[in-house]
Amino acid sequence: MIPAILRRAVLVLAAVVALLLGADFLVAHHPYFGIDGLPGFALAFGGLAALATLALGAAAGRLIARGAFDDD
Amino acid sequence: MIEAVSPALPLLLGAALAVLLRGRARDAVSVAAAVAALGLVLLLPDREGGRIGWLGFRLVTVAVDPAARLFGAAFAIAALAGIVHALAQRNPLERAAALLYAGAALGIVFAGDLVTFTIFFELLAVGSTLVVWSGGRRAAALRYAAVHAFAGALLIAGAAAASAGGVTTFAAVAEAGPLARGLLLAGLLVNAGAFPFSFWVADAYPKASWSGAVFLSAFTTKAAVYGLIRLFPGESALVVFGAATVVYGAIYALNTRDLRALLSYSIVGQVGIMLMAVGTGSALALAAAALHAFAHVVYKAMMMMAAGGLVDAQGRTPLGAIGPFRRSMPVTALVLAIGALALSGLPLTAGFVSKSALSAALGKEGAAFAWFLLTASSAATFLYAVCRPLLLIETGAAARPLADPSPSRLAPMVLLAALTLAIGFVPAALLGRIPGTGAIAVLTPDHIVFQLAVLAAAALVLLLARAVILPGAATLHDIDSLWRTPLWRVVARWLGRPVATYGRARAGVVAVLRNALAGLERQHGPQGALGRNWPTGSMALSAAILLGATLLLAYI
Amino acid sequence: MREHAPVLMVVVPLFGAVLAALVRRPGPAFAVALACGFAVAALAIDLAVAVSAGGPISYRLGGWAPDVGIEYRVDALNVPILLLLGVTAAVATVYARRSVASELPVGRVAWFYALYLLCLTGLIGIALTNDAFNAFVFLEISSLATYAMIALGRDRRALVAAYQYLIIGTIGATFYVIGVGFLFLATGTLNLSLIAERLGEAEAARAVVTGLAFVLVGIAMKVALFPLHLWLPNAYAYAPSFATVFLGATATKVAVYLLFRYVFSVFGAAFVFEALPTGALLIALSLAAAFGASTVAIFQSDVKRLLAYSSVGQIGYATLGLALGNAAGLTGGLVHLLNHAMMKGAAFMAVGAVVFRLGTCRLEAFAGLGRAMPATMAALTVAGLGLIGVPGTAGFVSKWYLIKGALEAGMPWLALLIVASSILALLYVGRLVELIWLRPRPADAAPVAEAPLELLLPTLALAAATIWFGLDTRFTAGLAQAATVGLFGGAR
Repeated sequence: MIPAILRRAVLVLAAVVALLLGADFLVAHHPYFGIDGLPGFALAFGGLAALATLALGAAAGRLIARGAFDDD
Repeated sequence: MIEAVSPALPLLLGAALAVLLRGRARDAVSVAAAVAALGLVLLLPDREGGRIGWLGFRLVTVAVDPAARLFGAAFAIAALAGIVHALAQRNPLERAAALLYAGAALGIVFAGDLVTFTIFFELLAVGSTLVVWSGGRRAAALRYAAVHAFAGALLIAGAAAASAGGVTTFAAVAEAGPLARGLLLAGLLVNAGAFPFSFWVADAYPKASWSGAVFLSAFTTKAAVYGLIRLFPGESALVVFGAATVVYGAIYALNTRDLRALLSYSIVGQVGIMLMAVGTGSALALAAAALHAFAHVVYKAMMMMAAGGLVDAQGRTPLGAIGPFRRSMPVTALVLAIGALALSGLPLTAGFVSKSALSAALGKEGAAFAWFLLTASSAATFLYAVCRPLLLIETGAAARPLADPSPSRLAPMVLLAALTLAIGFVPAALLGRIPGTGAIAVLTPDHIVFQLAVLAAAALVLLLARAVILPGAATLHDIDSLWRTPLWRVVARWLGRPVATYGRARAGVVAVLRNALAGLERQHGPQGALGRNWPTGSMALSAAILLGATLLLAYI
Repeated sequence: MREHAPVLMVVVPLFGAVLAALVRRPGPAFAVALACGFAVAALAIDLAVAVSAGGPISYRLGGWAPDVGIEYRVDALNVPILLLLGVTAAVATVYARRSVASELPVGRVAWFYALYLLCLTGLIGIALTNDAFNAFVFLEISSLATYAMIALGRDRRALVAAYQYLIIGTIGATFYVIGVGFLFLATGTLNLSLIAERLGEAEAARAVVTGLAFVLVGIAMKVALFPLHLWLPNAYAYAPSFATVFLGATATKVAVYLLFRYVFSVFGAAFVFEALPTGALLIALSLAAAFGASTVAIFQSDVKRLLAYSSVGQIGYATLGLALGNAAGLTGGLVHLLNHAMMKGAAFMAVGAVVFRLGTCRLEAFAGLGRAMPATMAALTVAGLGLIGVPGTAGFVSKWYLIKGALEAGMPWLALLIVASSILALLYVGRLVELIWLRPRPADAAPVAEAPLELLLPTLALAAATIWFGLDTRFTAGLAQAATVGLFGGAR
């Protein structure tokens, strides 16, 4: 992939995230557990979840990578 | 009269006819069978029918309630779409097997007692094994058969133990003994592909034919989820199994480099979510699980069809393979995109509707662990289904041009994509038909912003952290590596040690087994004591001994 | 006319045998056999209908009273056996023409049909008669015909097999007739019902017990009860294919019926299982058959022999049902006679079709045959699944009742052993199925065509019956249950 596209994607995504953060202050929340009603919770949780998934996936990936297409 | 006809019946008849007929007649019968099954699912009245006596059991083959109808509709839609999609498939065995498989799935859904349920589950195993088998990968089919023979044995043993205790209805399973419950639960979990029994899904499904994988993706795991809803609602162990399965699905889907394997792992992950909801056990949670199964069957079937279009190119589907073909196969590319977004639960897709229902059900029940894991799984799904494939997408020209497949293959996936979007745009059309879910608000600003925020944050994190983008591999080690690539070889590779030790140990075990077999053959083989020809006199002698012994024993 | 149906069932094949021997030519002899087969089937069905409507039928030969003359008796116990014999005779005879023509010299074909009809006469007679000595006569008729039929096999070892069976069969018949002599001594009658009545007041208890032991061991030799089975594998393996089909489906079944008759309606279960250690002994021998013979079957390299050893094992299930002595066990044993006749009939027919096409039934010859003879091999596979006892086949139904019987008798370990023995069947059937469907046909093998319709249709009919009666158990299990009810009425 061309890094230029990626850089542009990061910028676009950052803008989207900023927009969503703003919107999160405007909408009326109906939280189930309290914390999930805080503005910005979804962004923070989504980001943390993605980080955790990536870390777990990368760690496990070293162990489970098996090889080429399974032809047996 | 109609209430006695199980929707399984037309499909099973169709399977028998598909063996006998050829060409157009077979195609017509197959489609008619699937249409009839769908019609029956929608028209059957909400009550029991079709009672049969067999070996002293009272079998109920048609028992309709909202959950059965929802699963039945999902399976019948998948069967019809799958059959139409497979019309171009010229393997006669696969057609019959697919009809048998679909018939068994509907038989399970409309079974009204434990024995019928178990019988259809055995048929399901046979049908699905034949579908895998007709993909032409014999070794994989045998492994699949072994797993399902094992799962089938667990189910039969569980049903036998339950009926020995007088339990033959679903409701009574709650009062069955621990042995019966344990066996049934284990049998269903293996069929559902729950961790640690998930390995068979991604082993077998990517090796089915382009048309067979569609049926596989729809039936077995969801039939097991249906079974768990019927037999084990509120079983708290399911939350644990479900959570482990969600994590497993995410990790493996993030590391595979094969599109159909990714779809298989994501089936497992989504089934994990359903298991958590079944384990939570409230009426709403069960309905949400059923809803998620419905939505998942629809969009996963169409994604398998789209992936099947790529199989034509090279027989396999490396992740990102759509890249070179995105202009020559616009419909396939679009269907894959819609499916991936639905999988991630993007608003205005069916995935968002069912995940909203799940979120509401888990939230109202105060099931914090399951709710947070569900939310996190949305982020993870977006990473493995959308972001990572985009980063890995292949560029450059295709080795040979590949166009969208023929209309009979294209139409079903387009219709399923339309259904995915229709449910997404008008959630009430589906939710209103399911008792209890009508009140769930889906397309509200806070839900939309919440879901978008989770996905966008996840995508941003991935882009920033792309240094750790997972290279992965086309095949991944799993629990089955313990016996497929024996454990010691794996450990030795990790440790960087030579594998000679392992080789010696294996040779020793093989030698012991050989000796045991040779001993058995010495005793029982054609030259053995029991197998060889004996002189006539010795036979007379044994008769005399038997008579003498009988008389002797009679007089003492 | 209709009231003479019992005696007609014996007379028709008897005269058919004479006719077949007189015409000397293969074509007409086959026509006679076919006509007899269907006539016998029709008579059996007629008798079954009459019994289910009006209860047991007693037919006095020549009008003599039972205590002096010979009585034929049709009741719930022998109706299943008569149906088995009649239907097998009809279905198998269709199969006979091409198979026999391909395996026997033209000059012997008519003799063969005569022998076959004589054998059928004897077997029907055993099932019908209510006279102990008359049963011996029919036993000899069927046995002598069987020896000659086996000896007509084209393998030279058939002669040795026939000779061996002749010796063993004669010893068995002798034991039986000695036992009948003791019974006559004790009761003064040869009529089975009268023997049953007078046994109670018989003073010579020792004579009765001795008679019982001789009768049981004598019949056990015809049953091929382990370890008296050694004649069976060779006899089945080297006989002409059609003889194997017919004998495999009927001969041992009739002997088991005779065992049921003596144990339950003559001596009474209480007496047999208390006076002698019959129950424990029979269970032990049945299990030895189910495990020992099935294990031997796994290692066979000739498919006819493989199936023959499997028969010895499967007979073990029938005698096991008898040994259990309760209603479910008896039902299982009886229904297994019928089910095993279908399954083994289909299996031997399929193997016969392979012999017809390839001239051999060595195990290697079956490699890749699934592609060349798909219908025949599908029938063989279905029959094999039945032998294992896969749910949905007839074999499962009999095992189901046997397991139920074992549990009712308070022997859960026995139920477990029944299931465990199925694994052996899984191995020998699996070996065959793997060879047929998963192996490629050897590159140098001659091309093979599907079996001709005359061989294929009866084979498929029996395979279809194996599935049908696995799903719809009302008819077979109903027959067996009615018989069981009758037996418990007769048992004292």
